[in-house]
Amino acid sequence: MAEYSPRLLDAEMLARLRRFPLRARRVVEGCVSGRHRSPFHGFSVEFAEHRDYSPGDDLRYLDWKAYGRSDKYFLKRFEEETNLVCHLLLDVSGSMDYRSESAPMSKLDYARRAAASLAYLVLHRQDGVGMVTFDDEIRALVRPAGNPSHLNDILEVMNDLPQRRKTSLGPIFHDLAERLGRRGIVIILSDFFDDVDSIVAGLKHFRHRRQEVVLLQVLDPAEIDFPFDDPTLFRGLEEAEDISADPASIRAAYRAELNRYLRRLQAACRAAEIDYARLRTDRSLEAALAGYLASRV
Amino acid sequence: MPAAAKRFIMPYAVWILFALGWTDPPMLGWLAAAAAPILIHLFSRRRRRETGWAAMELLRAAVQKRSRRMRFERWLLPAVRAMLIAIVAAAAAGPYLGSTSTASSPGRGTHRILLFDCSYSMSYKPADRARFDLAKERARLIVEASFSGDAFSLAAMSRRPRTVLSASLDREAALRAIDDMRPSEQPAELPPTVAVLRRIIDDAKKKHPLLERTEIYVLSDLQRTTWSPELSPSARAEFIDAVKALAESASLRIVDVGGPGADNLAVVDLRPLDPPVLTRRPATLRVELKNFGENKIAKQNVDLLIDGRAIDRKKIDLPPGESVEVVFSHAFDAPGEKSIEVAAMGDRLEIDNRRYCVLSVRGEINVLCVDGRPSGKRLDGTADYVALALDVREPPAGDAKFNVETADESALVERDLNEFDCLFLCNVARFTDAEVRALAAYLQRGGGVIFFLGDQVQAENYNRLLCTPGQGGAGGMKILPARLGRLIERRRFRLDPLGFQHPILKTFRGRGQNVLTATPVFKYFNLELPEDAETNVVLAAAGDPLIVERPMGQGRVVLAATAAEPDFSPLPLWPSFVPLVREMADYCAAGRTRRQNIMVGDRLEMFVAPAAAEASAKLVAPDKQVHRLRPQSLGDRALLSYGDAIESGLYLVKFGSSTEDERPFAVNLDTSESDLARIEPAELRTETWPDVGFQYRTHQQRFDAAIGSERAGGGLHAFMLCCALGLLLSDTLLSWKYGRK
Repeated sequence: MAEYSPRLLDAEMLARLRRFPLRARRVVEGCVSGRHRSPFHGFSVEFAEHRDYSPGDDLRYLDWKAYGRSDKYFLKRFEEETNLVCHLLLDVSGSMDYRSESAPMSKLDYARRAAASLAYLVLHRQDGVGMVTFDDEIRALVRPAGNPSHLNDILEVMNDLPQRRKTSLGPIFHDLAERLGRRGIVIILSDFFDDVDSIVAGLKHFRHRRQEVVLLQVLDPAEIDFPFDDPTLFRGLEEAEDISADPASIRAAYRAELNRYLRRLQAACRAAEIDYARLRTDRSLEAALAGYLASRV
Repeated sequence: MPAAAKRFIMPYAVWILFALGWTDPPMLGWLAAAAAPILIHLFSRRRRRETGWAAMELLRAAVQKRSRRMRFERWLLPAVRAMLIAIVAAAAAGPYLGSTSTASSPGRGTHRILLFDCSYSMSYKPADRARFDLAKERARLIVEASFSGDAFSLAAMSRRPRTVLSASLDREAALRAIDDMRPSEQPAELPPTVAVLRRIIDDAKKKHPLLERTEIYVLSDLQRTTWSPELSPSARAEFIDAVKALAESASLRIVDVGGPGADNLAVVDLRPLDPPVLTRRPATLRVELKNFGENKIAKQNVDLLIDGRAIDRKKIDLPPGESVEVVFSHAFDAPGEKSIEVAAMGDRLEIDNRRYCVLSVRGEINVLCVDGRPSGKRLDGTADYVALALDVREPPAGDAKFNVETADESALVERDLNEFDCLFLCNVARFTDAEVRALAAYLQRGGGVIFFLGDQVQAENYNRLLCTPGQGGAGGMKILPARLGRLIERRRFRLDPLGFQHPILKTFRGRGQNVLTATPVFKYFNLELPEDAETNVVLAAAGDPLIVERPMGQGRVVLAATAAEPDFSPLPLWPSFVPLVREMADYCAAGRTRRQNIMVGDRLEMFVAPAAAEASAKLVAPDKQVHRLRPQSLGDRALLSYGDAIESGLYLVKFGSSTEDERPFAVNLDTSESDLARIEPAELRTETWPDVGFQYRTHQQRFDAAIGSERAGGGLHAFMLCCALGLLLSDTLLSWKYGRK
């Protein structure tokens, strides 16, 4: 396994998350050992290596000869034939920098850790993973690859973030939908504070391109609970006009607006058969990822 | 402030501020405090915290949705609190309806009458300032707090209440008049003051008919002697009716500048014990001091000064509430008029710590005995026994006290009666108009006249010329203290000395009682006493008055209903006759200086020779100020007079160049005012002014407009407090409601 950033990856957490493989729910282009359904049959034949058997692996790819020699189950893997491609789309806009007093880290840090962990898990399963960082334009794009050293490239991209600007999710999604290649899983990590209609239009473009889309919405607890009491000047993190308000008097209205927005986003996801999960930065990342991955098994 | 509030609330707020009257306008300064909640609110907004925020669109949507309500709620609490403070401040300023003074033209506001209690108890200094100064300070505040349309009157409550300023619209003039107010040296009298107030109100109505209301501020120490006057039942009922009428036409407000526990020491009396005072005989001066307080006064110095020189000092202790008599003895070397002063200084009301007296010290007492039936034989004339009794030499010196001259009745017009200290008129048959005129003038100047009757007396002539005012030459003066009735003869009866109360009988007190009561009197004229309090019965016989006396002018008249000759009655032969005659002479002769010992407020008068009237006369007051006196010619004499002696002390009238042409005057206080006992407000309501509506405050308290607002249909003050209470409750509920969000 390649070296990884100790800031973004937690070895113990990853060890525990290995039990939850990221499986494609839909047909993806390319299959190594039948874990991911492929539209193409007999596509890959060149043996690459063995790997440990995990419950749920297709028994057709068990190396019975190796079992006979070692009395252990090994699964045969074939090089360049990983059909699952996972695209990690990380929102690095200014709004992701928000971190309230009660949160241990910013939304961006939380999303980076989540993305790094997912990348590791995908690579660990010999699948391919790519990375895109964006705000109102694509800041970095790492083409999908399945070799373990590829993780370094991904981590490097996440560690070297440029000056960020405002979010513009819809256009970015449209752009990426055209640029991402083979069908796979597109995991988007963002706070999704943008126009819902625009977001949904972009997401539908992914779906049109037969991508399986997963939305991981990262929110700070303060953005959900709105716990402020004193009169506060809210400064926009993405060049929005400042708002001075008495939080106590608008708390209820804000919560209503937030819930309405979340309901709209979730409803749109359901309609487009898009997975949606909400991650709170004050909750354990491991639990959040484990919960989500387990729901896919 | 929102534009709507500016448009609708501000005009009304300004109208209310100016349409209402305020009893304590300086309190409106607290209205500025109403800005505090607004300022705190604005300040807290400036001190808001800052934070970055991602979900700005959601926040903006929430803010927009609640923006109007937020703005309302944001200002609601500060507005409620500001109103709360403003209403409390306004209520504290004492609002009342009906006075649109500031907006009105002059003479349409409130007529404020400031009545100063000018009795000398107001000079009492409980601390560094006298009560009168506190009253002036309070009066200034009342005037300064008034509005432009108000009118001001000032009145002084004293023995002779007076109007100082009548319904003036000039506030500065009122303030100047207040500054010029001084306490008098007299007690104050309430009943005549009510009449003065009535007059002020009536005059103001004529002068400024548009004045809306009247407020009377009585600035007093509520001294009992002033506020609880001793009146007859009818006078009291009349007084209370007058006060009620006053209270119906004006708002009565009593400002109490006094306080409990005021101690005071006063010299209440100073007089010679045995007048008249003669040279070479020790004169005894009796001084009476009274401790009006509740604490004992120890080792009080009492100083005697004669003609300005310290003569003697005594130390005394005065138990609380008691009088102590101090006696000074002094022998005068030379005759003349002496100025006596006694001082007992050292308390908080110094004005009554001094007392003055003018003594006429003589070498002897000149007596003229007018014999109605003169005789060449010894002890045959009707005045011989009197002259003999007066000529008795007194042990141990053996000096003659009296210089007696006997003459017939023609001396009454032919002699200058002013040469004599007293006259004995014995068995004078009848009087002419000229004689009566001479007697009246003599009495007017302080002479003493003693009548002994007899068989020649024509009662009708006596009664007509000496007993009827307006008849004869006495003008309006009634000379005899009683009318003469029929002659009564009785064989034997005892004299009744009436307890030896009269000073003429003082020599008989004790061992001499029997000598007097056993004196035989067989014949006497029945005396018909007038119904006045001035006639005193000295001695009675079988229930009838035998000797009576009364003051006449500045002098005294004694009338003995019997004769001074043994043919008429054996009285002259009895041992009691000599002391009785001498005491009568002493008593009547003492009146020569009575005119020179007067009370504050009395007129200072003296008669001088016509020649002296042409010279300029001067009066030197106690404060050493010199006043010119203009003599008034009265024919055979001239009268020098000086207005009202308004200050106590020793005055000196100079009507010539020599010291003979000087005459001292002693002016003393009426010390009834020295008793500083107060009447309590509750007593004032129940006893002095029952059923009279008035407000009472101490000088540290402010008046609310209770009476005024009630008249205006009011209770405005109470209404404002209710509003404040409601706002307080609203504030609590709003804080609870918005504070928990």
